[in-house]
Amino acid sequence: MDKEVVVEFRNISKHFKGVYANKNINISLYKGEILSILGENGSGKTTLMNMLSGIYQPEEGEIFIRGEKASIHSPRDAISYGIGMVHQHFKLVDVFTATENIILGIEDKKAFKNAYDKVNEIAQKYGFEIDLKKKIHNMSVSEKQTVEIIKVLYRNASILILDEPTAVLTPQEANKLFSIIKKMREDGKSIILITHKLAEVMSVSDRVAILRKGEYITTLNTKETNERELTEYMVGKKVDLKLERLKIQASPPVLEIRDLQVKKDDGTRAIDGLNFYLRGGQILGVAGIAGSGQKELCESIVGLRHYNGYITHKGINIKGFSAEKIKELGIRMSFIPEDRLGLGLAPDLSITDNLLLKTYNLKKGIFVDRDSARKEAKELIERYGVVTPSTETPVKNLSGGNIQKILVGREIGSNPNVIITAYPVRGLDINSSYMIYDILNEEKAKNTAILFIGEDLDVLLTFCDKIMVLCEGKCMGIVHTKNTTKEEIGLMMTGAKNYLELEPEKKTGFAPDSLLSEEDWNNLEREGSKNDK
Amino acid sequence: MTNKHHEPLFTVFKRNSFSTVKGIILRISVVVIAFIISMLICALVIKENIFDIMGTFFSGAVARPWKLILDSCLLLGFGIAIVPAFKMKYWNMGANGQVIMGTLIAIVIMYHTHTFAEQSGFNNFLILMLELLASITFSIIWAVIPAIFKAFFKTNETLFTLMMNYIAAGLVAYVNYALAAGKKEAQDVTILNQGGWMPVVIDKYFIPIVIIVLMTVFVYFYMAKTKHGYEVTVVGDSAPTARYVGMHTKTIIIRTLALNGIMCGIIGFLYASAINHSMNPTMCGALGFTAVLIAWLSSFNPLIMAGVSFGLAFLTIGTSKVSSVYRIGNNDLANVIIGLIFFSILISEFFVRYEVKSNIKFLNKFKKNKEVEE
Repeated sequence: MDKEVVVEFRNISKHFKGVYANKNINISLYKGEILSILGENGSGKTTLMNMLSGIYQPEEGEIFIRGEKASIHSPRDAISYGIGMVHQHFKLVDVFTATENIILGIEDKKAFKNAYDKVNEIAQKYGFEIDLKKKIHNMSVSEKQTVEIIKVLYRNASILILDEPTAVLTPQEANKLFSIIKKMREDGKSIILITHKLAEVMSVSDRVAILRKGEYITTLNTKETNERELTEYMVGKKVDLKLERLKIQASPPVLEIRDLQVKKDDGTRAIDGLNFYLRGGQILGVAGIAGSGQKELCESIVGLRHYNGYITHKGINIKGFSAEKIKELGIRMSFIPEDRLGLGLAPDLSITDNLLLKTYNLKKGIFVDRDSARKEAKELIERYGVVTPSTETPVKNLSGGNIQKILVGREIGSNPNVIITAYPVRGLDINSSYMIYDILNEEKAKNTAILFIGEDLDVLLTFCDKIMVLCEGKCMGIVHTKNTTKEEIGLMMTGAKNYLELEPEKKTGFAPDSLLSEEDWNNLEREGSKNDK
Repeated sequence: MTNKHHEPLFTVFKRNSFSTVKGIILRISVVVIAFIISMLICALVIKENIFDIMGTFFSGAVARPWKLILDSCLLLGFGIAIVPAFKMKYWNMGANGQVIMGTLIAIVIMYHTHTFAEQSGFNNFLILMLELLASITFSIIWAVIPAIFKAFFKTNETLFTLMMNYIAAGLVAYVNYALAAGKKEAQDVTILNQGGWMPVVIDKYFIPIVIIVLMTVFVYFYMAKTKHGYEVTVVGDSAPTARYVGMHTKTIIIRTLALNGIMCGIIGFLYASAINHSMNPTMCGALGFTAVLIAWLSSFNPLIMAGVSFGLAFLTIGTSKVSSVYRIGNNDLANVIIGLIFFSILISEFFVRYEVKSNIKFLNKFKKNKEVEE
């Protein structure tokens, strides 16, 4: 049976600054199917979809919608063609309710009258569970995503584009989303799913189109392929990458953290009474829905954020010490933050100058020593295979993977005994990602204590020794990766399972071989309360 | 689907690359064309031969070479003074105020010491040093106040520094009035005898020029080679990153503005001791703002800044000569010309950075034909 083609890309090309983001793409989408667009980060998936939703215009080639040549110059044009995109970053008005957000921007005044009923009808039809009168700022990430999807459906979209929809969801929420997507398919809608997770591709999509480095590789029927084949198409060669958990004899606690309380920038609570410890030669993973306090946790440990509670390093309480003071104590802490260009690197400065950041002040005198930094830069470029025209290129001109190599290289180069890292492989291609994992494993072998904040539960489960699960700033338990499952972690992420309440006698997060006796801790507490007064 | 979708007439793309040489040629030719157009406008307004006007322009511009160099150096000096702050993305709009505060205190000192210096033969050099120190102190205060607020309370420095200009101008007007009190007619205080004047070497303007050139060299090395300059760049590029590596951002902001103040203080001191020997609220004109433009156009490169300053000073003097010779009466024509040239520079910057593709059919045909011919 020949299905109706609703979207067809013909020889689409688009480049940025001379680099092709998309080159000669030919993909078609049928009515009533789920098509996955699979590719590594930077392979041009989002660029291609942005052309369909009117954010970018192709430089070459044509897009045909329902057999007619289309010119889509704005998201408004896209909507008139029945195309709706749900972006990775939501675009909602915080102080409005779900319904208000959904009808926002519709000029038809009649629409306002029966808005709630109409929106509710859509929600019922596909089985969305959402309170439409709730304000956005009271919503969880998955609820916000639901609003975005209903918003698109309300505009009569028959072609839906979902950009990495599960990145922010727990496994349970993701499953719920997939069943909704399948319902939409039955309703005759066409869905494009942008993703880089193979398991998702296999479980929901009918067909999968693969992009690699901006080029279209092939389209396969999901039933006729397997994960291994997809990976090979995606990476372009046979891959034999496996994540492994090094077995190392862990040493006594390096960092012990008790009763940590941290606030967000807006004054609300980010971390609420957290206890845990890091051992040398051990990787502690942190799982949690985005925004559960991960960022604030990292920043307080490295001294960039004010907190209450105790962080002790080898028995010394480092509370209130600035990043500089911590450095002076000889505590070699490395921090690989989530937002590399905003925190950690200076985007407009050269590679050399970025390497200087950590060392420029070590030498005496008023001048900076760029010559030795340049030498270091050359070594780093060679060691990690950084692709760059020269050591003097501004880091913002490099690709995500190369930027991360510079940052990780610099941080590892300072020979740390504690590494705090948040989403270190975000935005990297598979090879770069594995390189980062390898580097972290090397460091683990050197008896470094590592805190690894991750988003991909599969990675956390195979790579880390233990996983601490955060939910709204509270610890839901610290589990050995050997003894847990993805589902259990998912339940803990939403707060449905809380080991601290289930097993209060276990004293989760208190090191049995603490460097400080209980008496010392009590003294710290007394001093702390004295200082607070 | 009843919607009609039109291709837009023009699409703007960010350029992939543009060779430096091509860029320089483009910019220079744009300036030359704009200059010729403005001379044509002059010719139309004045109803004289365009070549005569151009002759007047060039001869006028170079008639007083020291004045020409001094004007260039003043523009350059203001620009150089704000470079460190701007590199830090601290938008200091208060160079005018910072300079005239320096002039103010120097004039007050000159006023109170000049008779004394003449009678007792008190060492003129010491008075000069006193003026310099006082100027620098006052300018530092004027520059650092908004910086403290920025560092500790995150106030917006653009508005704050701008307002500080008005306060400084008000103070100058007041002191002028106060010192002139009791005299028959109110006028600007002018130090007529030579008490506290900068000695004349070669030319009245020679020492100020040398000092500003030295200042430029200093800022170049400060920014390019020192730890301080490096810190300033990092704070400007990413303040969180600066904190991340343990830099004291507050100290760096205040320290940099103190340096800015020192340089403005020196310029203010030069105004009082060597250039004007008097003060009034509008003595700097728009130098503090033009300097921002110069610094931006030159992407904070001191060498290019020197060239741009010279070009601008040349234009200003040349056009005002044209105005006076042909009795236009005021500086409006000069302003039109300078505006025209600045505008064309901005246009050329746009074309250097962006590429415009037209979707008009006959234009594309024309372009294709041209490509074929080539």
